[in-house]
Amino acid sequence: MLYFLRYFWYALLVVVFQVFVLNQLDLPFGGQLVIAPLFIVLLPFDTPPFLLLLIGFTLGMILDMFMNTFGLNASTLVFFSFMRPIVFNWFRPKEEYDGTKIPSIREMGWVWFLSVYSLLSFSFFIWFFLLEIFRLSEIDLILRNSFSSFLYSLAFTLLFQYFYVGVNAKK
Amino acid sequence: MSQLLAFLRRARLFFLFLFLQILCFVVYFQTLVYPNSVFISGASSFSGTVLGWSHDITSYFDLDVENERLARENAELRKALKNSQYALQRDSTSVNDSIFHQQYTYISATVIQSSCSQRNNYFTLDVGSLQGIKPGMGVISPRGVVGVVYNVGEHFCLVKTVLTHENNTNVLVGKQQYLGILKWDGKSPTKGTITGVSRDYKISIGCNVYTRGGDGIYPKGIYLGRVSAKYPIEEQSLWNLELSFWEDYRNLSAVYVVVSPLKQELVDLNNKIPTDTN
Repeated sequence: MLYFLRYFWYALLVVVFQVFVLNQLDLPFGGQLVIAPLFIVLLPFDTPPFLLLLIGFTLGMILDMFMNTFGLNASTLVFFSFMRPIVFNWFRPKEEYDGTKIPSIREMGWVWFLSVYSLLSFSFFIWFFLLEIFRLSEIDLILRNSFSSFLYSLAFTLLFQYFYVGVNAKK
Repeated sequence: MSQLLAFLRRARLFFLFLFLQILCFVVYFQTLVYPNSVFISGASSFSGTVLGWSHDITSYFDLDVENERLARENAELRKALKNSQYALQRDSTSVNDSIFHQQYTYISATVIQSSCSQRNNYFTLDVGSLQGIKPGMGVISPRGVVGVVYNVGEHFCLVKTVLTHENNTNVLVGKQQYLGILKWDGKSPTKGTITGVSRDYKISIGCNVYTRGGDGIYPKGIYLGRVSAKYPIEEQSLWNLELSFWEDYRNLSAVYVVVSPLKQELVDLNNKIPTDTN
């Protein structure tokens, strides 16, 4: 129960921070700083895939309610949640994943985390902007927005992980 | 049968993914095409109320800027008052008000949620059907047009802004008032694109752009900004004009919803135009 409440609290923080802080930022090159994928990635390894899909859907719908995006975030986060176990499987280490661990830099190392998160995050933004712009004739805009958003979100994720690692290393 | 069941069991995750995606697509495209439900938007009473609380807190930080904007607008309005003007032809300044009908009235509102970073940007306003807001009404700000009311809840409404893909606004360019259509290419919230202006017309950089009016949505003559660049469209004798918006949509708070009592009459008349059946 405590475990569930902790992640519920994290999800609430993600929504509040995304809607009231990050969405107010005016970033160049059509980029957006989105942190919901980071929340999904950091769920423990043993999170059942169907639960991931439901968490992605619910979190996306709540974000859509506040961002006037009518299902765009829900669709993208469901796609992201669906891809997470697949990509994790591609980068499976020789020994199996420890289900109780969290897929973070501290637990899995820089190379593993950067590879997995970059692939997942970039596909997240491609799906997001393909659906939002919905015109292949504007593929340059889709790629520009996806790439810039990917870079902003990756930078934020690394900073977050750096402090996360720092705090945990001191303990 | 057992093989089919085994297949369904194996692919159940994919089916759940497919089901959720279809649900999202239905909500997304249905809301974009037929704005019937306000549930998954900032105009719903739950999200609207939360966004309103947030705006109540953050608006204190912008009070200085907002006061300055309102003072500037007051000065402009005061300048437009009859008693601020010098009548050149004294005999013709007396106006019999009974010969004028009010064409537009305005309901003041506050933007409680806005975004300029998406391809289609919708704003949430703190007025809804209880204040008489209806879909299709225009929304203007002290420095330009904002958009058209798209969806209305009881206490909140959603505005499809000029920073959306399909919002076309009729505009007049320059002193000669050449007709054009304002669109947005999704690249910068400070720039719009005006299409449909013939290359036969001489357009100078820096010339002013105003609303055309006549559609019952926006009054005529609202200043939008200046032409900042012009590009000829290949294989067409048209200009593609870049408009620098006067309004900064990233810091918008006070707006007005335009109520046009004569709009229905205009729509009814337009519906009577015979369509070409050939």
